[in-house]
Amino acid sequence: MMIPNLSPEQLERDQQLGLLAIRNFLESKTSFDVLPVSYRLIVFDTSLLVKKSLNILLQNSIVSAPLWNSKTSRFAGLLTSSDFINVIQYYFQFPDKFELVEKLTLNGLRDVEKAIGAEPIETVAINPLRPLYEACVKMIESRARRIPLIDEDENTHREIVVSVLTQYRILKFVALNCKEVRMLNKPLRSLNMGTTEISKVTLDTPVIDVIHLLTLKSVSSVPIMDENDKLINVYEAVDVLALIKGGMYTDLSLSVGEALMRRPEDFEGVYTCTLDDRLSTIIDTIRKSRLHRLFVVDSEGKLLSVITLSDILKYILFG
Amino acid sequence: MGNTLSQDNAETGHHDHHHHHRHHFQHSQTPNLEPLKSPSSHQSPDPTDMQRPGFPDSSVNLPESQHFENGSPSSEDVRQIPSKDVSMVDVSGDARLGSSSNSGSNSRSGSAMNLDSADELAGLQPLRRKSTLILTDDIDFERLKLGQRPPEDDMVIDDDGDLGQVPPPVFKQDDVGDENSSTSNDVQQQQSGRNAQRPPEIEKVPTVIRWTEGGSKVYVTGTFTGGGKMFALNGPSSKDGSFSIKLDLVLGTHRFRFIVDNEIRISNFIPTATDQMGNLVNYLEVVSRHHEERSSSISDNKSRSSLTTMDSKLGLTRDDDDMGDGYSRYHDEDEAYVTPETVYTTSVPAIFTDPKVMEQYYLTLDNQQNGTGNNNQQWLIPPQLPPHLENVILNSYNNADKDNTSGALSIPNHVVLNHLATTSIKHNTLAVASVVRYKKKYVTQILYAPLQ
Repeated sequence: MMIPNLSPEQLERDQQLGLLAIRNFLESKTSFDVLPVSYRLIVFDTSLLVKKSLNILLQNSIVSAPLWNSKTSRFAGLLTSSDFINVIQYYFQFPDKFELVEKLTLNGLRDVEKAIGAEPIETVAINPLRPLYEACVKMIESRARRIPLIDEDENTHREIVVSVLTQYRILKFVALNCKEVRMLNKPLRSLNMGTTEISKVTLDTPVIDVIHLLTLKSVSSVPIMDENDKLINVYEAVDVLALIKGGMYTDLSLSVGEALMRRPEDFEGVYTCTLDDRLSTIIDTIRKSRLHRLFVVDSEGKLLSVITLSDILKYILFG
Repeated sequence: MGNTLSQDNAETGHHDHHHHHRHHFQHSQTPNLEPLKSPSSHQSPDPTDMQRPGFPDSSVNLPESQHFENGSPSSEDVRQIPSKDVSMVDVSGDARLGSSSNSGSNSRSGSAMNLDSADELAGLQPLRRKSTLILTDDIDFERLKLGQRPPEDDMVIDDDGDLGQVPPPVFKQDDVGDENSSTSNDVQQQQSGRNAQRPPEIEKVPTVIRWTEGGSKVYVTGTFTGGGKMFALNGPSSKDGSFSIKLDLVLGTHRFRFIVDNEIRISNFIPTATDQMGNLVNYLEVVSRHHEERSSSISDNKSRSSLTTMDSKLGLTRDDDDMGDGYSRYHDEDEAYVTPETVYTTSVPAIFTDPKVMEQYYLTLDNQQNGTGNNNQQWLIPPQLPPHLENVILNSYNNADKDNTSGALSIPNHVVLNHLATTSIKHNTLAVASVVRYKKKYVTQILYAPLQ
């Protein structure tokens, strides 16, 4: 993309106007607007076994699903990769509880959470007709990467699971439909965005250590470096789905390098950028590719920081 | 989950006239789902989906002539309804007119269509037949006498006996483009060649598309313009500065965007959704004017009385709202519209359990066939699944489509709404799905649950 040669003042002014326009756009649209005219929604009954739910996720090429408690006829939160990470950690702590893990239903996930002392993820939901801006704020506040859209049936007053929006989908929606993103031309180096404190691993690190890091640091990925401290790959929270697929929890002794062999072939790849890149370019890349974070590297490929979709969203809302 | 599915016939809903079929759907990606049973006509919240009571299957397009003759009896009293399924009421209206055989006269098949693209529509228009609202002929005559616009999408046209009295419907020229209109006309000619008595009809509803958000040159482009063409809107109007265009649109959901002074825009006053790529579009659903008239005239006593007459002719009995087990019949706001006329029961009709009754039924069928000199024992062939239920939209969903990050599906024809589809049970897990409306959008919900 051609960046016009503008003075820092002009860049700054454009940037602010652009951000304002995007915020207005998010205010003017609802979560419902993001949904296609016809779409699918996969819901799991909470009495489903955890290992079966995993198979179904993989079969449908999804990484998360809303849960439905048919006993109470209520929405019961989201099943995400962090639930599977909890189960893995539970099994690692209590290897004699294999039977329990085998028979674990989605209902039992909260108990697993408690047993390993994991902080329960508060599921914040939003009515689909509320402004998209509100959904974004709720997501940032709750540190959730997706937000379920829940409505209430007028007659029965029961909850209706309408859909689930992810940060990626909202940012892609903005990228496609809000042309003012082109005005965000300030280079990243002047934005103070992203995290520089990064836990890194190598290909030989045991995958279970990497999984521990994911929860310990509350991150969705851990970069993998070579011996020269160059970024070569990344282990993502969603990768645990492929790791425990089928066999369930028998392969936790693998190294992260070996574990990555399980990754599906359609892996989107690792996205990098430099401090000279601009948000306009990054958002345009989001439009084209399913990326969930960018690693900022210097000219030698040395990792400087990581910018997640939450960081981008946070910047758009409050930056 | 399995890829091959079969329809289970454990369901005993006696309106389900296709419940002893096995249908297999094969697909590699999505869980395959298939219709399990007919919709419950009493749970539809949307008046346009509402079917006439006592005609539980009336949302089902009757696919082929064969279908009419092979409907299994859906009432327990076989003798009263010797050869006709309740779902066939629309056709059996002709019993009155003395033509009990429709075979060969139904050259058009109702096909479930995804109103995705104008091209698709153009190709299929002549085949399209809306059959959700199946009403007695009397009403239509009343309408005609009142000088109202002739109903254009009603199956009543299939009724040979009526044709003499129904003025030939006006086939509107397609404004969209020469291609479309010529295609339609071609098929029209073919159709009339096959059956000179029944001209095809495509209901088009004059629809005004308006742009009220400024600009000096406004165009609209969308699924109805085809091939990226644009139509210029007239305006600005001297009154309010708005732009508008009146288009004859075929029934269904249309998606479109505006081009205002060379910039793609979305109206803030028309519903919005995203397309497969995620682009924001405006959309609207064009419903039959006929439907609207129908639903607005539900208090019309004449219509109701004629309905009742029909039902009594068919020997349908009234029942109350208590469905047993603490369930009561669902009533929409339009109480008058929902006049319960059928009995819902969990008992399997004797026709399927008692060999004597079964034999009696087949004998009756045989006699009927003989009576019409048509002794081909077609009743031996089980009735077919209505074609629109064979194309389960989930089965055409492609997980591998990376651009489709929103799980966008093709837009369902409303006749497939509120049907329950299912996979076969594998590994003790069952997936059920149904397509329902949610605020003018369609959600295809899939619920995975273990078998208890």
